[in-house]
This record gives sequence, C-alpha cells and structure tokens, in this order.
Amino acid sequence: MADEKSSQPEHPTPLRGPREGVPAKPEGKHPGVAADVAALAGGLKTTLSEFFRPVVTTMYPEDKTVRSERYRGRHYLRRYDNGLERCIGCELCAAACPVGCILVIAAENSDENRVSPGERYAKTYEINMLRCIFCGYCEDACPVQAIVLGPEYELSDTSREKFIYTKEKLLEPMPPDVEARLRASAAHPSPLPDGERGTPK
Amino acid sequence: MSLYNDPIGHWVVVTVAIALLLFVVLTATAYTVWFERVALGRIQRRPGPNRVGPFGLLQLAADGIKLAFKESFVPAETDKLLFVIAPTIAVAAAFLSWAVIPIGLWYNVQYWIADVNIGVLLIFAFSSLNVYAIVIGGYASNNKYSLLGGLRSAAQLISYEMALGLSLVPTFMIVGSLRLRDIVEYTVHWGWYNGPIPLILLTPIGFVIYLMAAVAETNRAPFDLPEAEQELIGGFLTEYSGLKFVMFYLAEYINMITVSALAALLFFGGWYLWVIPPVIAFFIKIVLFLFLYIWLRGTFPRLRYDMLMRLGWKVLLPLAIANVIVTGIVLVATQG
Amino acid sequence: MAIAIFFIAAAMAVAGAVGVVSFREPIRSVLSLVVVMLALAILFLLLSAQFVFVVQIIVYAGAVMVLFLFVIALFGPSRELARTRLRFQSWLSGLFVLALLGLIWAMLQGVQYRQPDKGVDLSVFGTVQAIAVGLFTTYLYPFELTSILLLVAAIGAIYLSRKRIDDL
Repeated sequence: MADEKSSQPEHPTPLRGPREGVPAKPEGKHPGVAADVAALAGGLKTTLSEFFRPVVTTMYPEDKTVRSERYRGRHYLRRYDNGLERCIGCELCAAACPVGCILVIAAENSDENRVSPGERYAKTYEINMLRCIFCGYCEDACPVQAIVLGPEYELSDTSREKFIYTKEKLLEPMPPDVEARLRASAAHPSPLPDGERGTPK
Repeated sequence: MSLYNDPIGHWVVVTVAIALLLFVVLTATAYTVWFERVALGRIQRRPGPNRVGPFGLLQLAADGIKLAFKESFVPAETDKLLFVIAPTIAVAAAFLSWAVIPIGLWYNVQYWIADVNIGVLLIFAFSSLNVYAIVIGGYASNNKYSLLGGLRSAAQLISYEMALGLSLVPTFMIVGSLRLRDIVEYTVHWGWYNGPIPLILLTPIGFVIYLMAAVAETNRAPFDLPEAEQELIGGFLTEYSGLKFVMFYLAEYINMITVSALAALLFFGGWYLWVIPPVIAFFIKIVLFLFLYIWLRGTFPRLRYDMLMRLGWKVLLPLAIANVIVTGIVLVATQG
Repeated sequence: MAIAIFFIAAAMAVAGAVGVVSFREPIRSVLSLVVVMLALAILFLLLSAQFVFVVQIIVYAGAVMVLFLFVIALFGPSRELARTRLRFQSWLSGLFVLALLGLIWAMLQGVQYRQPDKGVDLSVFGTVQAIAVGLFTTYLYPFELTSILLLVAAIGAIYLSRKRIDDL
C-alpha cells in the first residue's frame, strides 16, 4: 500500500478540469510598461557595453593556451642510454588499453640480433591513433617504462593509414619535456594499485 | 535633365541604374552578413570571421564558393518545380522593392530607378509576395518542420503587415503623398527654420511600431520563429542547401536592408544629414539601422509564438490605429 | 511598348487561368490563380489605375490567395487526385467556352471605341488621391455601408467558427 501511495505523481500545480477555466492570476504588483521597457533597455545597454570590451578569443594556431605539465599527447617508445629498446614485448600495454588500439607482436632476442635487454622484444608495435583516447593506461601498465605519452596534440593528417603509428614512428627521439612530465606524473598517486606502475629512476 | 526626357536615353539610364543597383545591393548584402557576424561576435566578445582576407572581408566569397559547389539537393517525393520556384520568388520579391527606393539626390542626379507616385504601396505589394516563397518552400519540402515553419512564418507576416502598414499612415497623412521622394523632402516652416526634418519628430509612436513590425516582417531575432532551431530545426529552410539556400539567405538580408532603408527614408530624413553628401548620408543611416538589428539579435531571446501573436494583434495593431486617429484629429485641429 | 506589355500580361492571365482548371495538384492551381491576379494587376496599371494595381497585388495576391495556400498547405502534400474520371464534362465545358467566346465576339461587334472623356486628366486619374477623394466625398455612403457589411460578415464568420466551451 505504501508503494501505491508513493507512485502517485505529485503535481506542483493543481490540475484543473476542462470547464473550470483559467484560474485568476495571483495577486501582486505586475510591473508596468515603463518597467518592461527599462528592462529591455538594460539588456541593450549590457550587450552594447560588451561590444566595446576586448575580445577574449585565443587565436589558436598563432596563440596557444598553456599546456599542463602532465598533458598526455602522442606516444613514444623509449630506449636505454646504450641504444637498446626498453620494450620487451610483454603486451601488457595492449591488455591495459581500454579501446584496444595497441598491437604488439613479440619476437625472441638472440645474441646476434639483440634489440632489447630482456628475452624478447617487440617485432611489431603499432598504435591506431584514431582509436586512442589518450588515457595513459599503457604507460601505467608498462613494467619497463617503454611506452610514454608525449606533449603533442596536433595530430591531424590526410589519410586514415597515416594514423596507424608504426614502431619506427614511435621510436622517434622524444621532446625533452617528456622526462619532466614523467617526474610530474610520478609525484601524483596512480589510480592503479601499488606496484603496477614503475617510477622513473 | 534632358537625358531623362529622351525616350531612348531614358531606357539607357534605367538599364544602367538597374544593373548598378543589382551589383550594389548584392555587394551590400554580402557585407551585411560580414558586418552581422563581426558585430554579433563582438557582442559575445568573439572576433567574428577574421581569417579570409583582411579583417575576414573575403569570408563571404569563401562561403559563397563553398555553397555554390554543394550538391543541389531536392527531397524525394516533392513537387520539384515548387521547390525551385520558392527561393526564386523570395529573391525576386526582395529585389523588386529596390526599384522604388530613392538612394539620394546629388547635383540634380537621382540615384534610383523609378520615382513613382505610389512608392511605399509598391514596396508593401512586393514584400507581401514574400509569403509565397516561405509557404511554398515549406510545403514543397515534404517535411513537417518545414511546413510548420512556413505556416508560422506566413501567419506572422500577415499579422505584422497590418501593423507595419498602419504605422506609416500618419506619415502619409502629414506629408500628403505616397511618393518616397516627397516624404524625404517634406519641409517645415518652424519660425526661423525652413527645410527638411526627420519625420520621427512628428510620428514617434509610428516609428516604434514600424521598428517592431519591421523586425517581425523580416523574420529576424527576436521574432525569428519560422527558423526556431529548438522547435523546428531550420523551419522552411530545413531542406534547402547550396544555391537555393543562398537565395533564401540573400532575400532575408536584402529585406533587412530594405526595411532599414525605408526607416531611414520615412523617419530620419533619407539622404539629408547636415553637410554630409546625400548618398553617403543615406548609407550611414542604413548602417546604423542594420547595427540596431544586429544589436537586437544579440540581446533578446526569441519570443514564444502566442506572445508574438498577442503583441501583433493586441498591442501593435490597436496602437497603430489609435495613432492614425490621433494624428488625424491633430491634423484637422492644426490645419483646419 | 504598352501594346507589348499588354499582350504579355494578357497571355500570362490566360495561361494562368488555363492552369487553374487543368492542374491536378491544388497548390499549383492556387499559384496559377496568383499568376492571373498579377497579370490582371499589370493590365490595371496599363489603364493608369495605379491604386487598383497595388490593391490587386496586396489584397488578392498578398492576402486572399495566401489564405487559399494556407488551407491547402494544412491539408498536407497529399495528391488530391480526382476519384472518378470526367466523362462528358470536358466536352460540355468546351461547348460552354465556345458559346461564351461567341457571345463576347457578338458583344464586341457593337462596341464603339473612343477617346477618354474630355477633361479627364490621365496623370491624376486612378491615383491614390483621386480614388480617395471619390470614396470619401461622392461615394461616402456606399463605401461606409460596404465596410459595415464586411464587418458584419467578419463577426458572423467568427461566431460561426467559434468553439463552444460546452462541446469540449
């Protein structure tokens, strides 16, 4: 019974039947025509004063707004100082990716062809930038800090194929402020449980 | 001028004037759109178009090229002839008014096409044809939003045409002529002052009614219900794209310039402004009116439909009739 | 020049009138009727009746036909095709047209063409001022009576079409 009572909709205004007619307007002082005109004039004055104030638009390609230190843009694959790739082909980044935009195909390292210090390396490493949402989970998941997100956000291009970033493109030298970003990110707690994220040395 | 009296010379003058006016009005329309976008931007503290050409002045050329190369889309299952005729009527009706609008009188040369006896009435006649463009456009689009927008617009135009016409009657009564040139050149002899005066001094209420009704007639904000995006998508423009859309757009802005020019002629002394050359004075007045239009658009929210109809029928129309009666009584009292 | 304009306008009027009866879609018939109105307006202007010219456009083309258009637009763009085919009516109408044309031809035989009356200033004839003087002096009573008739008709229309509260 209590449910039935609560399911009754409460009308904020009383309903009226078809023959009751429009109820009388509530008592109170209706503003006169002069007040209405004054209100309109007030609006016109406001917009005119805005007209003469300076423009606040940022002229984007020429002027850019200040980017956060921890801004996450396009990806980079890092190398060790001795030139070996950090990536060990573990595919944890691909597993962590919410949209599945990372493709990793691993291959065994051998003494003749040593690409990374570990047992395996990434033979293929591709990121589909059209799918990427720049969440940074790949970076958090990586045990060797191979994949990091850089600062660039102007990634427009002329064909869909060009948005599949290959390993060669991802291994391009990083801009210097990525290190600063990694340090800044490390200063903030990770949303993931402890131990799932490496800290820079 | 003997050139005007010579039959062949007369036709040459008229043809050249028509071609020139066509060019001037088209260019003016393009820059009105630019002016509106910049002014509206400034009201909202944006810069408006500023990329194409200096100060964005070539933006309209870019927009025009883009629209001209768009697909000329016609909805399926419609009357294709009517769909194409509607924007044609809109542009034709808008341009025809300019045949009788006097732009200025400078060194005894008249800068307009026809100086007719019934100038103002002709403008009303042409602008009343604009309803067809909107209703036919809405009907032929085969789209409920277009149809509703078209019908709304037609109702709005018919309602406000009455107030618009009646708001000007006191002016005609004072001047005693429907010829636009006579109205501009109306002179008074007040003590030491002999000369033309802005007629708003004699018909201030008529001007206020004209201003509101003219905004409604041109379907501009805050009376732009035919294109109320929240309710009707684009109204009668919903299915129009490419050059056919351009024609409707052009017609709207030509009408805007026309009512601005009429306001300048009927209430602000037309081409008379202190020592400024006539054509330039007329231009300045039109630009000020256009700014007023844009200013209103940037300030006021759109009216609800019932409010619009109430304002037209219950406020503006009785006020206009009362204005006519009072002006008549005053005229009889003062002139006998 | 005037002759050329007359024949163009007359041809427009006749073509529009044929369109009114021959189009299947009602909206096209209405627009044909608008063409007739506009062509008639041009013919009035050629007779130097400026005021009638403008009123023809404003009242007939601008108001009356718009109401027709309204009604048809509210019915929606459904094709109002005739349910039954016309059988003998087309022959009958042709017969009537022939009879009417013959009648007109017979009437025209007796018409004497002449110049306008002496003393009529054609530059003033048909202007707004001339018609206003006529309406408000010589023909004041018929004019006012007509306006009362129209008012009565308007009130009657409102009364007949009003919605009764009891019916709701």
